[in-house]
Amino acid sequence: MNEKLKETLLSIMPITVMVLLIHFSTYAALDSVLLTRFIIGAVMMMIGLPIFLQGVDMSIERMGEQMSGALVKSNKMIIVLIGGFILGFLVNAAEPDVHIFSRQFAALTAPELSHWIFVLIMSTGFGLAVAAGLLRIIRNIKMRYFMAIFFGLLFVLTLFTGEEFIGVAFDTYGATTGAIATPFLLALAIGVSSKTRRSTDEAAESFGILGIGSAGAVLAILVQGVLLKDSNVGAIPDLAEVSSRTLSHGAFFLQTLRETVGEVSLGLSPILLSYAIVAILWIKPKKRDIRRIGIGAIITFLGLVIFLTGVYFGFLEASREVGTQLALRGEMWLPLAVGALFGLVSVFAEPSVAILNTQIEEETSGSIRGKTVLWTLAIGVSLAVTISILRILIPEFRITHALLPVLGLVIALCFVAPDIFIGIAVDAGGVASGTMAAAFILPYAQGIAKNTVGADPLIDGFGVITFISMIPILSMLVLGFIYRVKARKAEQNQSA
Amino acid sequence: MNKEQKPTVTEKPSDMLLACVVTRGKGSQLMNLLRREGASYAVSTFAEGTIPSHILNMLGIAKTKKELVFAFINREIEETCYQSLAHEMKLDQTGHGVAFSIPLCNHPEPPAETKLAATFIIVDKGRGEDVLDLLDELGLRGGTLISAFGGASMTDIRFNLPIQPEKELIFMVAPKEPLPNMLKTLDEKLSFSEPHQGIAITFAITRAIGLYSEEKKGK
Repeated sequence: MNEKLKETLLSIMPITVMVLLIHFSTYAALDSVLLTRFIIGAVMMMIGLPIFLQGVDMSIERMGEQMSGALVKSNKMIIVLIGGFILGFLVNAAEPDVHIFSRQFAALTAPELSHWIFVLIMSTGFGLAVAAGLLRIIRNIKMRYFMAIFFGLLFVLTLFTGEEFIGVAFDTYGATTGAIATPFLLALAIGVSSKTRRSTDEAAESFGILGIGSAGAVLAILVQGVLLKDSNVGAIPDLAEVSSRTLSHGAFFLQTLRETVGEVSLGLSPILLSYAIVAILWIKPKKRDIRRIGIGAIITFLGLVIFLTGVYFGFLEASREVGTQLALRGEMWLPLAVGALFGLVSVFAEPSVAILNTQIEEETSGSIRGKTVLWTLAIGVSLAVTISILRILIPEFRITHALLPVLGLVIALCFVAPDIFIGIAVDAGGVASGTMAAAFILPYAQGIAKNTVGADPLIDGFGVITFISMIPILSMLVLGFIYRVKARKAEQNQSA
Repeated sequence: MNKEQKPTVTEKPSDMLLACVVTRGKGSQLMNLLRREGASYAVSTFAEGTIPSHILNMLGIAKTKKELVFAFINREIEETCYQSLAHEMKLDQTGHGVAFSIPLCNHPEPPAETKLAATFIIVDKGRGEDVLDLLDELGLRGGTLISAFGGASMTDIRFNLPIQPEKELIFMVAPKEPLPNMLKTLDEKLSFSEPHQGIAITFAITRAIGLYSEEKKGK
């Protein structure tokens, strides 16, 4: 229990201390309302995070693992593929961020259509990609070829898509994999991989499912963007930016709580429902398992609701306020430096990152340390936020100027990094751009954009998540490359 | 197995296997300690431990993340290894981990009589907890669970390809007396004597530290 407490403190404390430091340094002082909410939010995150992670360990991961068992047991490829598609589709369609981005995309391209059509397109892309990812695991197709093709397609489509769509389309890479989908899909893929293992060195092949799924969703949206290119008539809707400061603490808290309860219930329901069906028909779990998964699901629900309520209640507006005040000071280095630091510390507080890191350690039996992965991601996100803020401050800096080189580098590195790192990298891209990116970094960037001459908070807002998901992929691949060079040197030393 | 290091050259050949179970994350520290003391080889792998708490067990939270370290040592450094384990890893206090020695075949003296023995049980994945429950009923607690692969023959065919079946390995140190009864119960309840049901072996250990025992609890 002691270890868990330490872990939680280490994940939430950095971001809390960072904001408080900026507050007390008076570079961007928060008023008493925001400060109170911020501190309450931080405490809730510290309580919610370990509860959530415990619940995930007991239920979500177990459900993913058992479902993978049911799929593999069928011994029919077509069932694995259909099962993968349905699960991917449902999990994606239940992701709250997917609905937000679908609404924006609909407004941008075809305002006459319902946003549900885009949810359908995105989820179909995601589901098909998840099925392809499972096929890859069973058929033992190398991750590098798979990802090089996916990112090659993304690269080409980016060249043919209008600038306005690119940010929205790539933002979906991060939106598709939330805190509940991440552990479920990881456990599903790892389960399928270990149940079809042929030699002992195949742990490498179990990662990548999140990245493949997300890339599939982005592909589907980009294709849609190319097809709808001429019908660009809509305007981007203003994100709900109504200040909650007029509300009392209690009223705002209840409103936030209601939203998160809805969000978490929606996210959990497809997994619980599909598990219930599969369990009754095929798995027939033991009583002990049913009890554990049931209790675990309740713990997951409570933990995530507490955590998310804390983030939305305390962090969202505080970071927007910090962004606003820093931008108003008119010094360019300030928002950049604070952005880089925010990027760094926000990764530590991201629940999905914690989940991915545990899985990496488990699967590699500790040979790739979670700490190394954490810092690599933190540096990647830090760089990503810096680039995003630069883009806001310099109007000539367009999204493709940074995105195309990044995509090119990712494709190139796919051929030199070790296979396991390619899987981890594309998964990491999706988890790095989770709750904290959407509810802490994005509002910060919007706060800056709103108060910078020549910046458009709506246009510049898109693309922040894009970089937060794409650049960690790059940094993880670089880490993989370093591992490989080091391993080769060690080999040479041994043979010499 | 991973985190292997080039064996440091020692003068005396190893004749003992030192096995340690500690909290996850402490493995590197432990391996460094053992190498410093002269262990010729140390490897670590991840494992899951059990907590003797019925309330947590009810909730299903009775698992803790552990790390299992194996090291080869010479009998002459055994004493100093145990001293360091007690001082630096606090293994002499309950709850910080366990360590014990298994004599290897080239150990010159016949293993001294101790009251303890180590048990290895291998079953198909998913049955590990059945075994742990059964051991619990017999009053045997503190098993460690390790994920493993393989089998006597690659009998499983999935998608037209032979695969390595998933296994679970249970690892436990316990007093010798209840062991024959344990083997009998494993056979009765989980039919171990039939093929492909499970394997259980027990062997002597010469020394142990950090074991959870009812006696200590009473003190």
